[in-house]
Amino acid sequence: MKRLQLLMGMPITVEILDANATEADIERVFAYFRSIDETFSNYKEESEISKINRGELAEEASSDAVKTILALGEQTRQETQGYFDIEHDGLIDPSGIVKGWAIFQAAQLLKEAGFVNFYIDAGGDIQVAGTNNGHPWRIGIRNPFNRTENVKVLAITDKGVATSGTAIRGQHVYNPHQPEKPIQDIVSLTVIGPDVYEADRFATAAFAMGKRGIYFLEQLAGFEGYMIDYSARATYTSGFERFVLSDDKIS
Amino acid sequence: MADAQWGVVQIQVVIQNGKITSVQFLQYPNERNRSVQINSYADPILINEAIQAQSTKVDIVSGATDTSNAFIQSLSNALSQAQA
Repeated sequence: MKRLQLLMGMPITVEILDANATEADIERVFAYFRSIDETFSNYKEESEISKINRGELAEEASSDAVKTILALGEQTRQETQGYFDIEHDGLIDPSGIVKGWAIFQAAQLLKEAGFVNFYIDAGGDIQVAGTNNGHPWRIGIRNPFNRTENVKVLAITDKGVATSGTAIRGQHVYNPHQPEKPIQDIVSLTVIGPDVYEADRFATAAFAMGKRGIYFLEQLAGFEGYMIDYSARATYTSGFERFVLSDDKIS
Repeated sequence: MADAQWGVVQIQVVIQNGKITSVQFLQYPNERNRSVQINSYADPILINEAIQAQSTKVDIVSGATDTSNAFIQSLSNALSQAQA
C-alpha cells in the first residue's frame, strides 16, 4: 500500500509492503507529520517555534518535543564544528533537524506497529526498512542538473538516505561562519547513514562546508557520501561503492 | 614502501587510463603522537568521476527538497486528477 500527501510544503510518500497494512496505519504516519508541522513550523503563527521566536514562550516552558529538537540541534552544532546551527539572526529555525527526526520517528511508529518492509520519503529524504520483495530498496540519486535523471542507483536496506542541495529551489543551506557568501562550488550532497535523522543532519552540515564536506563525511564512521559539484563531477567516500548498483550489474 | 621521517609508509596506488584513481595507505606510522597529529591533518584522496545518467529502475529518488510553487501546483493538480 502506497500513499502520497503534500505536508510541510513537500511531497511525503509512505509505502508499506507488508500484507496486513491498512489505510489507518498510513494515516497515522501522516497525522504524525501534521502534528510535527503544527509544533515546529515557522510559517504557522501559533506553532511553539513561532511563539518562542516572538518571545511569547520560554524554551524551558516548551513541550518535550521542542526541548528534544533544541537539544539535538545544539548537539549537532557541536559535532559539526558549528556548520550546523538552528539559530541565526537571533531566531530559531529548526527545519534542518526536524525533517530527518520526524521521518525517523514516523518509521519507528510503523516498526512498533509490527511492520517490517516499508519506506517513508519526505521530500527526497528517505528511511527504508526491510526489503522490496526480498531485494534491497533501490534509491536513485537525482541529477541536480536534470531532475528526470538519476546519476546513481543505490541498493539500501534498513538505512537512511538524505540529499542536501541547491539544485531546484535555490540556496537553502548557508555557511553559518560566512552567511553572506553563497555555497557555489557544490550543488548536491547525498549521505547514506544509519538512519534518516543521522543522514539528514550530516548532509546539511557537510553541504554547508562546501567542498570540504565530503572529507568530513569520510572521517565519520558509519556514513558514506556522494558530492556533485557545479562542473557535474562527483566525489565520493571510500565506502560508497558498496551501496552502488551499476547498470551492468542488472540483468 | 618508503621510510618516511616518522616511520614506514606503504601506499597502494591504482592507475586507470593513465590517471590515479585511488590511493590507499596500507601502512602508516601512528604510534608517535607527532605522526598521529600529521595523519589527522591529511585529507584522504577520494575518487572523482563525471556524473552519468543511469537507466536502472528505482523505487525511490533522493534529491534536494523541491518546494517550488510550480512543482507543488503541478503535483496538486496531478493528485486531484488521480482522486477525481
